[in-house]
Amino acid sequence: MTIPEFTMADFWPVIPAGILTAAAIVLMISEVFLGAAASRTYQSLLSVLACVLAGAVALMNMTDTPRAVLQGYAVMDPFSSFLTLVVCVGTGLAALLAAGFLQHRNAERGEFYALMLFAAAGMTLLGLSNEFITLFVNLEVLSVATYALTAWLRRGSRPSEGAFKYFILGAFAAALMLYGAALLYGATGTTHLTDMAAKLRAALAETDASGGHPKQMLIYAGFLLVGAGFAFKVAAVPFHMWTPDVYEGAPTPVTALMSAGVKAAAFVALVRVFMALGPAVDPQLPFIAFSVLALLTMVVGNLLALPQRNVKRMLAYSSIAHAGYLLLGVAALFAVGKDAKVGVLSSTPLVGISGSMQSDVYQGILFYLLGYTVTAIGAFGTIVALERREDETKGNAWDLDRFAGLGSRKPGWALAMTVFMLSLGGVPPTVGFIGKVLLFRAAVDAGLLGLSIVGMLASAAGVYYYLRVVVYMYMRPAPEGALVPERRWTTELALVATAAGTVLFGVLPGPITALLQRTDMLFHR
Amino acid sequence: MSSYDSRLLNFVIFAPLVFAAVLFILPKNEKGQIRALTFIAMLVDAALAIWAYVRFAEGPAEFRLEYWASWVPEIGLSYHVGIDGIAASLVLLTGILGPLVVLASWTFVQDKVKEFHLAILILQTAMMGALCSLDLLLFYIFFEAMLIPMYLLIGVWGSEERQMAAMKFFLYTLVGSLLMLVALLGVYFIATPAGQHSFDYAAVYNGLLGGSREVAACVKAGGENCSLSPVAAALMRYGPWMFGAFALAFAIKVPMWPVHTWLPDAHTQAPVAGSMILAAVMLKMGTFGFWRFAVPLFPAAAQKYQLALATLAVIGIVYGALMCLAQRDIKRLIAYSSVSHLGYCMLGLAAMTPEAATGSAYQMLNHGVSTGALFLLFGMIYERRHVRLLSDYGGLAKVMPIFTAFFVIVTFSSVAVPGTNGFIGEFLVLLGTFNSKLPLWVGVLASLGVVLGAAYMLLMVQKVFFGPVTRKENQQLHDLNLREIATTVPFLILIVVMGLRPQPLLTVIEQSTRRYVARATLGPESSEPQLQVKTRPPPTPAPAPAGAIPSLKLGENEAPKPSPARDRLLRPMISPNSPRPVLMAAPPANAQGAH
Amino acid sequence: MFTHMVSPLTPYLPVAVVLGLAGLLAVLIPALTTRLGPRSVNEIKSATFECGSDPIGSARQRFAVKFYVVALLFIVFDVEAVFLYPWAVNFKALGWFGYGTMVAFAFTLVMGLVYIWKKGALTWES
Repeated sequence: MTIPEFTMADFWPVIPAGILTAAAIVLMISEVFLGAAASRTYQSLLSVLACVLAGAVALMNMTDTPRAVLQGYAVMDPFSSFLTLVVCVGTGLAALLAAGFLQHRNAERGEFYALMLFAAAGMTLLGLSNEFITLFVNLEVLSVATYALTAWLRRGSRPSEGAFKYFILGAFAAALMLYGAALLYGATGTTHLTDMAAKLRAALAETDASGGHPKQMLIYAGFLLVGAGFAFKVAAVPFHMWTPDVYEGAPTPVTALMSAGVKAAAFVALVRVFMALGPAVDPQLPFIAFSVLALLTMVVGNLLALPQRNVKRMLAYSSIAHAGYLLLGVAALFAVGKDAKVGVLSSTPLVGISGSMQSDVYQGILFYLLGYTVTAIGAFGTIVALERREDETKGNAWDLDRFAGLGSRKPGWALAMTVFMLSLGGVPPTVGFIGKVLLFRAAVDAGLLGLSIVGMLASAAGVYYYLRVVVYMYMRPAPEGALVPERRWTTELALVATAAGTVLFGVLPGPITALLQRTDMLFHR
Repeated sequence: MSSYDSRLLNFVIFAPLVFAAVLFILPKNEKGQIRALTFIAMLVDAALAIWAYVRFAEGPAEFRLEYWASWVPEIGLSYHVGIDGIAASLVLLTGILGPLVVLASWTFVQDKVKEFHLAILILQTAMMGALCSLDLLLFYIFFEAMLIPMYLLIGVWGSEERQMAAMKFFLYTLVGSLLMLVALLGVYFIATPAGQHSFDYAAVYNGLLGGSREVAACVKAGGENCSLSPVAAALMRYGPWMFGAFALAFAIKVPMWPVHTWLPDAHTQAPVAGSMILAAVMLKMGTFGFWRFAVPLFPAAAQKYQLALATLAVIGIVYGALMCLAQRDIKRLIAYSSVSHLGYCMLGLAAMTPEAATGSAYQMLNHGVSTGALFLLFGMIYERRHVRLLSDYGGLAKVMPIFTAFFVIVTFSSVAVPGTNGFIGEFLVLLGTFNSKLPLWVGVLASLGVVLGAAYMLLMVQKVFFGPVTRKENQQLHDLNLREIATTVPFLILIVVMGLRPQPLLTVIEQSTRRYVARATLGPESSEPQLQVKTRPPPTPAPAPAGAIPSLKLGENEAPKPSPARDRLLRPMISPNSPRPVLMAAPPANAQGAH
Repeated sequence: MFTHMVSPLTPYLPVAVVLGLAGLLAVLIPALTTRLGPRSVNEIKSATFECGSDPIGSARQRFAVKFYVVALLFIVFDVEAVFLYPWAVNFKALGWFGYGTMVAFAFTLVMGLVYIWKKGALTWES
């Protein structure tokens, strides 16, 4: 029997997850020793501290050499390290928001933060999994924690409905993905992405006595099922039906975490799996699949958001639309059609895009994920600051009227929300604009002109519903007796941090783009 | 060029923003202080703009007062500003207008005063930035950034239907500019070599020029079986589309018929300050965009669609004028007159002859002055009566003589009576159009617009000012107060001076005109002098305090030759003891702006 | 003579004997009890055994949630044993690294145990 040899180099990528888990355990254990009336402010601060530490380690990992670690079960590359950073930023901000939210509802417990941190650990590990079973386990770690978080406020029909839908459909999607992975395993005899990629081509070419390709069906079905599982997690149309109900039903800080962290992790895993396996089969196929998904998601997401009066639901649909823009980037990775030799859009196709173009796409996707995380959490944070417990059962807690006259009632919050809405709409000088430029730049470079134009038009439609919030805040008088509940400093701190980040990264994106400027973003060998 | 010259535009652009930051911390109830501070900010910015204009006045380089700084080198985005003749004139106009806008809304705005002035200051920064940008993406950023404060100006401080008008304004402009963004990304990849992609205007222009020549030659040769370079092939295939995207974005902003429909609503609902800025400066961003980007970057496509552009412009002229005749709402009438007047600007650009282009640029300034003044003056009676219909007024000449006199002078300017500024612009445009290769009917129809213009403006003046006072409410109106007179007089001075002494401005404009026409027609001068690309300076240690820029062509940006006229102008500003003579003595390349 | 007859199956002869005896017993004991024991057939006795609940009827029965908690905890600690066993078998070969890993694993579980203990999940009556 050979004993695996591990060195410290193997553990660096999982240290952030370790920090998050350790903090989660501390929170869980310390909770049971507290009295009902004890102050629990330390809990959110400890979560933030854990996220900061984990994020710092991830930042250090960014500059490390990309390599396979832990016997190839995981990889260490800038792609996953940056995801860890994004997840830590998102979780830290969501934990800050949660403090005020939970105290207002008298529901603050250590388990809430512990579940958040467990979910975050799962997200970071999902990003660096390089083997299907590891990937599946991490997906479940993050999913189970978010199912529980969705149902945190048990009373009322909305949380139960959301949690139930999320659980049933999530389990279904996980099963689909597992089944797909099993089919791929059946065709290649391995679950390691690296080995699988090497064996896929041979497996496809295998012929039986009658000259057919017995494994072809198996492999294509496997891809389809794995892709469907991911499409569910990233809320791509037509796998998006759960999103509005779950996002609306979940406690708002959890919604923030879902829209930012879960989505980011799922995207990173999706890119890793398909970049490892897709080209081995046929770049055309994933290209078509992701283009169609991107098209549908961008258009349908934006159109469905248009009639929403419920801001939380509107943000849920907008999160679908943003998944569409990100899918456009994924489609660009598999694009065929740019002649890399002359550097000009042309009609002479080459198979696949060049390395530097790929790195542009990675840069675009990752920057967009960070920008969206900061902005979306800020937007949900404003909702946290405004919603009141009494209204949740009446169902108008998130109505646009809540925002009426906010410009004069709470100018600071209104300004922050305006910044978030503009950033989501991609208007300069915000981080959303730079993200869109980077992403669409990569898409145009890869020759996806038509899709880019559709995406731009869809996002113009999106600006309509984002601006409507601004209209209500500044141009509608406040309704009679509209009280703004006083909030804790944690909520305000989160709002200030996100608003400042949204503007700052929009004006000075340099440090982040410099961090992302690498050709070896994704390690897949 | 001295080192503060190279930073001058930064001050012009960002001074209002800095003041806005100061304003931000003022208490919101100190309305007087807020107004005063904003006014001072605008005065400072106007002074800086005038200074920039003076410093610009002569020199061989096309773009002067250049400043370059690295911003996001990973994607080739840099902060690169500089002005040529047309930009300098428009910067001057924008600068002068700033304080007047603040004065115009001194008493009109009583609600959310602080936010209002913040919006105006931010808008000023965005407009100045867009005019000075020499980087495509930087321009785009400023171009978009203008939308938000203007949207708020209309939506928060506007009239009854303000929300709808604001939303319409925002969405129209945004759809156009988002499509432009895709085209902008496309042109960025086509024009600049892989690995060194850049949004720099000069890099993009120089990268496209050869390709445009090939395409034009190919089209001339029949368009079949040309052997094209990669850039030319890409331009052949995508050029018309990209030109279309740029043109659509700018046409919406101008606005050209048939995408003008947001303008009457926006103008009607906007507060005085909003209307003034919108008419005087923001609409010029459209024509300026054609001048700077759409036409020079895609000359082959522009020539292909020259007649289409001219036709739309003429339709705009005639249609706008006819719509004016049918209006009952005064603000709507002035708005439609804008559509008509900007038709001349577009016609001048489409004609692609030196006279027409000069006239077009002059008309941009005229329209800014005269329509800005019209909105200002109308704002004054609107503040008194809060009604907009023609039938609500009548016989005001008896009640408000000073006001009437002012209004009539501005009307003369607007209908291009000789001796006012309007005449010079329209005359030059029509002259240039008749001299161009456009068909004769274009010029004939455009001339018809002049007649119609006189008709609708004079009819309005007659209905509002002359005849008996039909309404009881109008009998008690008091005439203009000192502040209002002080706000209007600068406009009147501009109208007369620009009408009687057009030469100084025309000289500045003509520097750009020559190059615009050469670029639009791909004439032999279109690459002469070639635009200079600014890039990151090499990491070699620079001996001089300011590093030389590698790709600089000597003699292009060196210090301008001393001229008696300029020295006379500068003497009050620069004392003999200032460091300027020392810098003049230094080698020219080192005198170039520091980074 | 016998040495010639040794076949590879010879060592398994005792196994065959045990198998034969076991088969004999398996048939003999049920036969004897059926024959000799007293019998009373009633409904409960002839029903399929389902952990004490009624096999026929509505599925929407209420259960005390305590059962689920116990079941969950059982699975958690049961799976722990699945991990512990292979480690124990290879204890020496895995060395200190294996020991450290297992301590971390066990520590996590102990923390879980402390948690459920304090939460009162282990007390049946409350």
